Amino acid sequence: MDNTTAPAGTATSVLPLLAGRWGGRPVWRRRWLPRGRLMRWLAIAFLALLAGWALVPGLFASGSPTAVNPVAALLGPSGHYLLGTDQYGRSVYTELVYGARPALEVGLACTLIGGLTGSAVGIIGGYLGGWADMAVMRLIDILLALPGLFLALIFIAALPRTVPNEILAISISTVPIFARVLRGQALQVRSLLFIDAATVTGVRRRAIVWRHVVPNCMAPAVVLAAVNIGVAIVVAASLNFLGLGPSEGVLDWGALIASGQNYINQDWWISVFPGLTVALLVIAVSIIGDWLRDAMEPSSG
Amino acid sequence: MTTETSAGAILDATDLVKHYRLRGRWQAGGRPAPVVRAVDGVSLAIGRQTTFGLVGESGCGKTTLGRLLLRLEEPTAGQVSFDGRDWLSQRGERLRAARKDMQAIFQDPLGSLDPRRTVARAIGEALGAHGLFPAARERADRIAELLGLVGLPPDMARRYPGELSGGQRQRVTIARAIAVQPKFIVCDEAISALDVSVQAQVINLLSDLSESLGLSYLFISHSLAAVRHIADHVGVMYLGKLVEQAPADRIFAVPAHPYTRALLAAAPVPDPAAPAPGYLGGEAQSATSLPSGCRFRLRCPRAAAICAEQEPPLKPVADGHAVACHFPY
Amino acid sequence: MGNEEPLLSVRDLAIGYQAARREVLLVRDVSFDVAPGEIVCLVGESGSGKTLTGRAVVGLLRHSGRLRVSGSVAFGGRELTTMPERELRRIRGREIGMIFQDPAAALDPVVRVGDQVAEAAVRLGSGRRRAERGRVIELMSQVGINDPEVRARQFPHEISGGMCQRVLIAIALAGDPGLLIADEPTTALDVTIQAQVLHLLSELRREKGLSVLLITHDMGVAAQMADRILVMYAGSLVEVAPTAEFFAHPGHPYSLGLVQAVPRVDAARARRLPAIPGTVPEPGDRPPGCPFHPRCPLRLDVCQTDEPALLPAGPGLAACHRSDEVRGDARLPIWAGTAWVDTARAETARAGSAAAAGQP
Repeated sequence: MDNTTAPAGTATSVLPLLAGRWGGRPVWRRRWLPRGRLMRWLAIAFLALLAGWALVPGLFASGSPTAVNPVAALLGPSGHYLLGTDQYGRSVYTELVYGARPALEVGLACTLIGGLTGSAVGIIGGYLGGWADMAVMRLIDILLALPGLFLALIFIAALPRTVPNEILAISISTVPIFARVLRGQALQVRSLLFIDAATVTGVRRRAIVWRHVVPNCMAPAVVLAAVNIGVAIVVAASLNFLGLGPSEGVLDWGALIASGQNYINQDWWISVFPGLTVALLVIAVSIIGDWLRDAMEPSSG
Repeated sequence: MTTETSAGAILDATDLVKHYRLRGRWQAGGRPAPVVRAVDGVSLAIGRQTTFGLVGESGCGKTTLGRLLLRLEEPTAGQVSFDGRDWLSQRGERLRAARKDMQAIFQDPLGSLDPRRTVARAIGEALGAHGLFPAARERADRIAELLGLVGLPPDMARRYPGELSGGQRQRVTIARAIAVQPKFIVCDEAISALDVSVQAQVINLLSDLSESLGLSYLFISHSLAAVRHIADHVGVMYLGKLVEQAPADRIFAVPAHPYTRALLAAAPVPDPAAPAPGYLGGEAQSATSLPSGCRFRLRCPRAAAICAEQEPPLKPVADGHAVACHFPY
Repeated sequence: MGNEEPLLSVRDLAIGYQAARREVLLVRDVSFDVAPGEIVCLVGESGSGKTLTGRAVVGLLRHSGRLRVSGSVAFGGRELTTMPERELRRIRGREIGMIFQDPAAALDPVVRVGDQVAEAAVRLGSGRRRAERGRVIELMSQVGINDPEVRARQFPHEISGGMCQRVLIAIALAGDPGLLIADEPTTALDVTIQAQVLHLLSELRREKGLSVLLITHDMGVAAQMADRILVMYAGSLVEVAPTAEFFAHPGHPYSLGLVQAVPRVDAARARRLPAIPGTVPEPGDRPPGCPFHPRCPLRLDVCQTDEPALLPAGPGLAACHRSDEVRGDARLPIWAGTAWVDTARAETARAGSAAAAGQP
């Protein structure tokens, strides 16, 4: 018999994929995309680059993202201005680099706040069941009546345009997705045998929740959080694109895209490069999310 | 029908009932939603230091009965006296503390252990829940001692359940169960998921522990053969009811109920010279649509007219031996 | 069974995978035959390799990325291991049928049972577009399904486990195969239903000359069904024997231990179950010499270094340096907690071992 490996795409179905349990390559990776490992490293490298931009922007870009320089306005990408300049003469590259910090700040803060709140609410509802669960489900339903972006939109439209309010609005729109996923997870975990075993042993309920339920619910939460950072950044960018973001400070990527709208036919680089960055961010984050999900399976015999 | 006087019994259950109403009160057509009569009036008593084997096939309600006794679910009706006290009225913190005396071993050894916690923490949690051996050093010693009692080396304490074999995991769950010094253990299909050679080891272990620690067991199993080697008394369940109950020697020698006889006849024996297993035709009815009268009559070789009209009650036919059949033996 | 050509002939089957630096074998040197109309039981516990062997026989391991299969499997004179997939698929349905352990899971939950049987009948039989209803009813009756017209319209979740297994047998028989491979077909079923299904398999053998390779861990099932018994341990065949001879005079200490360790309804009570101490080794940790030696009450020094070959022992084969002794005296010493004792002394030992520690 020969040493053949499974040909890509043979006899797969969606279900094992969602469970993350299939041993071969995912169905959508045809031969012309880089293989799994390489993609992962590229994703990590890209995210590391963005983190570098956020932490030490001065290291990566010279000049100021805010200083106006009319002389150099609307220059295309060149050796001097890597990604061109916008209508104010600011280097697009520099703006991109300096925009990383606010973007990541918002992403991390929203995910943390919204994620922790949503997870707590979801686990409580899922584990306790009964009226607590009903309350949680209705809350999720209400929040999800409007899809994420619109929800954030509503809040931010009503509040003054500051960064903390932006974070608050996006956090609120993050809560329901975490709550729903964690509630499902808690429901599953609740009926696992070792929870019954702990009950029979006489362990106090609070101890059961903290020691057994929460750790076993964390895996999907971590994966969700990883992906959610990207999502939060995109939502923030979208809000900024619509002109609803904070009104001072460094231009967010979304605002950058917006400001380049009118020039898109001739001076396309103003909008395209920030847009590409956001797109790549989403892809990178989702690759990492997949990887985390696979890594999170507890080993069993 | 009790196996001992109630004063001596550690567990005395009377007319336990558990009905589940299927989701949705009404079905299309205005009929009320079916009720699953998982346990339909079961009474049994288990003496101290006695093993009661509860046998039946899938759907008979034996696992549900075990869960009712463990208070993992609440009965729809019935009474339970445990160690002289009213068991069902215990609640909250009193119930939690009282659980020290009633422990359980389940069918799936991997599932009953939290995969993220080591063996030491699993057993330690049991000790900690009842305030036993709070000092770290003494606790570690006690854990090592317990592992020894179940035949595992002390260094197993550092391992995770995923690293152990099925038999080893089950021993760990046994160690956890005896850690709090219970009086009574519910063994719910405790050996079914194990290999044959390991089953023998675990049956022997449970027997030994029963003697050395003075334990009573409710040994739930679908295998009459396994029950043979461990039980003092045996009860046979079918579709939610006890159909026969007797001391072990008697029930295997002179089974009275046709279902018990069928179970015994169907069990394959590792001896080619034994007669070919007789088999029972038909299948168990579902617990939602029970036949009128005796629930077993549709599969029973002796069914007569009276069986469809009257459900036979569980009546004694000999000392300690009760049967629910119009035509026993 | 000498004069007939064997229906299935397996030689030197080995299954392994590539671990860090070496190859780990899950199954090694397995050779056996199945004659026409014969029921052969492949017996073993978890880790014995019996399920893998069954799958390898029909080439189900070909698409497993990690497992490598070597050796020869000849069916009706044709070599299956080198056969192209398309041809093998034809044989798989038509001439070799297969049923697995969990009947409910093997059926498509959204397709009616009758349609699933029909699908098999079309693929394997008439070749016509739509299977005749008659053929479907015929197949279902053949496996003892009452009211087949009613049952055919039901979905798998509406019928019981035993009925599902019958449906699967009907599907497996749709192509009128000569060999049926049954992998733990009754393990998930109640004992009364198990008796029905096993009775059905016996009947099918009697009426149609169907050969069965029955894979099981249940010695009782093997005793009831098998003409010959093959015992596997840690990936190797350790004994092959006709059933009566096997139970009367087992040739391998593991076989004997297994037979003794099985709980029996007809045993006397309070007889301590003679258990084999220790556990089955992991595939990567196979001990040198005889794989069973760490647990064997009869081990010698030679057992720790020389792996015994499968050699003739009475009417069968056994892989044990001391198989003659084992066959001669079927009362092995048994492990009584702290030491090996003779079976006779074990009874008295138990009475006095109330305080003995549990056994390893």
